[in-house]
Amino acid sequence: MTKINKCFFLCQAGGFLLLLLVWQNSATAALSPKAILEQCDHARGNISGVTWDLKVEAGEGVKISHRHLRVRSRSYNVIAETLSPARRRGQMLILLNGNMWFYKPGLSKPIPVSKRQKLLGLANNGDIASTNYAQNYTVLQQDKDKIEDEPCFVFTLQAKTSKATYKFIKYWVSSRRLVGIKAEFYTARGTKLLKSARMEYKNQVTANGGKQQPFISRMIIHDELMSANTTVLNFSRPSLTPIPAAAFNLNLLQR
Amino acid sequence: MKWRFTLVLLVLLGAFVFSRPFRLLAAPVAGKSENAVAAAVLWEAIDFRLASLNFFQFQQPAKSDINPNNNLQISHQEIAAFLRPDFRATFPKLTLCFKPRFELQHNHWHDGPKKGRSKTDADLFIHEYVLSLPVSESILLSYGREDLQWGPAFLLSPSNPFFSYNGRNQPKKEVRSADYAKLIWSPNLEWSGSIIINTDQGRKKLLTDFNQTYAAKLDYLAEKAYFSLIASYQEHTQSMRLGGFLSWNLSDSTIIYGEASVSDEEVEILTGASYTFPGGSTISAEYFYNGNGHRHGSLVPKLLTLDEYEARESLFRQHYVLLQYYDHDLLSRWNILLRNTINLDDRSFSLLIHGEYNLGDHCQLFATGTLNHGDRQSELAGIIDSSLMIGLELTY
Repeated sequence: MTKINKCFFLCQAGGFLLLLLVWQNSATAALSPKAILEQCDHARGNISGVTWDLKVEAGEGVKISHRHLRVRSRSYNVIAETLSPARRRGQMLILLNGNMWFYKPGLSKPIPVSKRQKLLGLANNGDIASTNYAQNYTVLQQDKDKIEDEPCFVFTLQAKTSKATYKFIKYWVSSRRLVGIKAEFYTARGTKLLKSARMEYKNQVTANGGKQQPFISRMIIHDELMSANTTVLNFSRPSLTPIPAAAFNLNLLQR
Repeated sequence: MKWRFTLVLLVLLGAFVFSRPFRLLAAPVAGKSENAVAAAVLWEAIDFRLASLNFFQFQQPAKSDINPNNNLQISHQEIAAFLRPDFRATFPKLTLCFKPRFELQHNHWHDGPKKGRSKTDADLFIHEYVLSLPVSESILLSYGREDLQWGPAFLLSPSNPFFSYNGRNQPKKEVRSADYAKLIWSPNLEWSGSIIINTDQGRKKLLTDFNQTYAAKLDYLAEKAYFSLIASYQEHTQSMRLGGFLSWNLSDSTIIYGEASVSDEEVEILTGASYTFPGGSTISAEYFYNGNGHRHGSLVPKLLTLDEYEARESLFRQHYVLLQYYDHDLLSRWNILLRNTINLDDRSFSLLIHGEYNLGDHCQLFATGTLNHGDRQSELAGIIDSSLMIGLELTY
């Protein structure tokens, strides 16, 4: 290949890449904030049903606690069953329509518990469930930022419904991948930062129509208020399968 | 007779599970033999948990009208080892829960009819077994032996027409189960309906003859609230009962709840509230009104003349208060439960302190202390004055 041909080829390839970049940016720019949040929600759950395994590693001071859960989630409704450690095997946390129950082997029935009950460490019930930010939050403000050189939209979200775990969230969404990569969770008045989280998406799931899409694989939560504690949630074996209403019927809970 | 029936049922189930029709429950997987698919499905479907409970218990039987000269034969010392395997098999078209139990107990008596005697008993029985078959995506049929409980209350469940006792005063002991046939309809997440028949007393010990009871239960799951209505009919007494419960999340930290039932004979009402502190510990308070209860005097005449309708009851005076504090994972290793049940009529109370200390992933040390206080005619101090249980639970 001559030098002129090489230069010509490189210019063409560069131009093509530039066009691709401009096209992609204009495509995401054309999406409404709600549509972007919907894309992000698809990578963090599913309205009709998703099942995954969750390994929680909670650091409190020098002590580290571990828990392995099987989570079945449909929108905001969740049944999380503990698989390990052995002494907690069979314990269940059930979250339905803003009501929460706890069950452990030996109890005759699930007991109602308030949403203030924590799962383990910094992980809240909302962290293990599917997110539905597009439906349940209003975008108050939209900005742009970069996280580790990755261009992001930054949305300030306010909860529309009392079912939402957090009242205010600042949410960084990769403008290239359309997945939420960082979040800050604030107090009910939105004045104090409670905790922050970073998300990774190394899992892949097959969505309706056979299309592969990224799915959350890791969430690292930092306490921003009281301590330097960190809780890590590792998500594995995600499976998008519709879950029938009967699976969430308390009268049918498989004890 | 019941043993034979249970045995036949289990043999039939075993034959079904390991026969060819069982394999048809699984979806075929391309490139794998039928046996390999069946083995893989079986491995995925079966869940197993084993608990070994070992404890010493020291008890001081009450000297009361209910238990004069320890006629109820409450032992003073008990050493016990319980083996509790739980099996659960979940297939797309069948769910089976099976909980056999082995109990080895050594008891010693200091007074009463068995004064100075010791006895060792071994018992092998099925605590629970439930077979569930989905008829369609929203309808499920089930039959089996289970401890059927519902509702938010800690003290007892007045809305339950079968048995109101929930065993909360003995945290490590299992409540005896009875036999039920159920048809459950779940058209959506919000609504659910059930037809339930209590077909046999199972392992329940009753103060009167068993009376078959039919119930229809309607549940509604609202946003931050849960309601249930239960209408029931007793075959022998031909009596109706209407009950219900409500649990309402006032905020992220506060739940208020209530349970009630009415019949021609009586009214039972329980109201309660729970508050969870930012650290995760919870306090609860409950008030229970038992319309048919005896306010004064000895309970013995009442207990001797119970009718079949009252066999479901577990408390026999009129006004009760429960105060409770519990904290799971206190200081990461401790679980603590404090409960005081107060009988407002005869001023007796029952104080329960239960603590669990987790030693690693498989081992838990626990202790339960109970102190009952009241006069000779009181209810809560009518059987046991005090008890202390110290034990070790191993889980695999």
